Amino acid sequence: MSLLEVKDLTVTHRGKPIVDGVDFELNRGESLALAGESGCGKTTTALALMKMLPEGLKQKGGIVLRPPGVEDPINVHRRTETGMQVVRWRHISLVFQGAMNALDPVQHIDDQIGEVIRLHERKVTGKQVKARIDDLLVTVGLTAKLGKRYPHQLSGGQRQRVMIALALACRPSLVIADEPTTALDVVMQAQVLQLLESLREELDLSLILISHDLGVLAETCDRIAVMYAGRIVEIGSVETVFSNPQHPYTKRLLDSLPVIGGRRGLAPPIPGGPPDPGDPPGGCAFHPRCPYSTDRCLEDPPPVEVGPDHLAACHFSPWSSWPEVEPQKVRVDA
Amino acid sequence: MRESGALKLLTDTWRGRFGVAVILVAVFVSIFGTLIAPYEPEASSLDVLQPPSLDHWLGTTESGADVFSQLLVGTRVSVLVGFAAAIISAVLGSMVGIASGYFGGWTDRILDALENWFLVIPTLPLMIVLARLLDPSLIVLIAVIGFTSWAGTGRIVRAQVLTLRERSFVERARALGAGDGYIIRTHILPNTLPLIFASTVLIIAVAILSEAALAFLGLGDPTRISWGTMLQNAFDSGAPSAGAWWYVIPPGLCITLLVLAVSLLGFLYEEYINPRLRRES
Repeated sequence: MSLLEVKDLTVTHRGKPIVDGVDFELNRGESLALAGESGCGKTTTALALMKMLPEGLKQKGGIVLRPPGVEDPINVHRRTETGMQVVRWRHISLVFQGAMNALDPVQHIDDQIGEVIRLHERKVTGKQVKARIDDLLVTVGLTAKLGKRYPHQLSGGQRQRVMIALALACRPSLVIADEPTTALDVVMQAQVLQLLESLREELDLSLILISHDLGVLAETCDRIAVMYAGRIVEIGSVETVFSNPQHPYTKRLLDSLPVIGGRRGLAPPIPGGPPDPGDPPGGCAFHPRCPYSTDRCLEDPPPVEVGPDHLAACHFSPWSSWPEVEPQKVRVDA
Repeated sequence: MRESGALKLLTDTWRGRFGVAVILVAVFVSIFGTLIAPYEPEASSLDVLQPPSLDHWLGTTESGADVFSQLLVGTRVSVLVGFAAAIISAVLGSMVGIASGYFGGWTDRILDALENWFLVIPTLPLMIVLARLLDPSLIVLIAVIGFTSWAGTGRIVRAQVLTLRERSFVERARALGAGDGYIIRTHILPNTLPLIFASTVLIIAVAILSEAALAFLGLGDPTRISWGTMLQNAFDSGAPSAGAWWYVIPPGLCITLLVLAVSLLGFLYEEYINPRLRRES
């Protein structure tokens, strides 16, 4: 049984879709990567899973959570705001983007973690809270002493660890991490990813990792969902998607990754820019930038099963081989 | 590091030293002025409009009272009105600013319109009208000045709260079901206090000046001596044209010194919370 089931999730802004019919499932202990360019709807999808969308965005579609130890599945899409307050952080929690903004500059770390616990468990005593905070700080690789500090007294990596501790404060079964490693140097990135990885095993967490850094995702996740213009264009296990991409967008994205020992110089960039969220081109949203597009691409492509547990939303998948791209065939009108 | 930075600005710059010294003296005199004063401040004598002498260090008034004693006793009103009015203005300004920034929507529109109205209307005429309508007393003076000077603070606070309420830590608390009162108390207010404080310090200076202006126009508390009423009495009795400079210059100079000291400290504090303003030194 899957831990999280998302069915036809759609988020609209004034009737225009920002996220358009996203489906996926996530098993217990599994980690899923959400990849894609800025503005493709990764963060919006994550916020919709917790019903934390900013005002003006409306969400539709089914979100069902089956946390271990809870009898009835939680129908997130039918919960009211008050109903969601019990679910957030207890079952699904979020590591916010940008550690600097996510911590209150005038509060001790202890108080900020304690706040999450107290808001959830009103009867908990001060001693218990303190013990749990110390525990959490140690779990994320910090010392309990750091709880007495202010955010500005911590390094970027330490702050990111505090953010993870905040997410774990109420022992959730699913953690969504939104760009947890941006703004960190490479060494820190590796450490934070390692931490997430070990926490996942230790605490039997499921993880949704949002990033545009494919290298980061490949290292950490079991499965990957590539998003483009609010839709998942390809989803599958990290190994299959990376070794055998089945959507032209994924293919081009992977081609743009520099390979150590590979050819010198950069790969040809994907022409054009990302489409306007909310007003994507009709049919396959990638067609204006796709070197292989034909008139058929003006129709919506259905997700096709191209392998075991591997879906791609392209009219021409499965691709047995990728034709060489002639540069002049690339239409840059997006 | 930051903690010592604040003290350093106070002790290592001439502006800090001057400001602290003047304010300490003013506060001391406003508490003990009645005890130090060599004469009854309003006791009249036959020595009318006498220039400074050993008996009367700063000369005498038109009714023969000691100018120096009046100056000492008058400090209390200036200091009291300055601080009390600034506190009223800070409380009003931060309440309106936080409510309008945090709640947004119609609350914001109405409060913002009110704020604009108070910002645009010339403050002194408004104060004069209000002070005229009510019986002049110290409380009325404080209330009128506080009530007309909060709009600037409100504006600054509102802008800060608008950015604060979108921060993730506020969003997180809200997502977990924290009430508005809780969020304002634990997150919004502590993050706005430095700004409130900075603008309040500068309002103290404005309040001291306003008290002097109102008193000079005869709208002060008639039962109390202040630097403003001293100036009013001096002008009413024709002291400047009689060449009685000792009656006019001391209260004027005291007002200037105190306002200068408060302003300097206000600017220093602004530099402290906004290091971009700090000069190369």
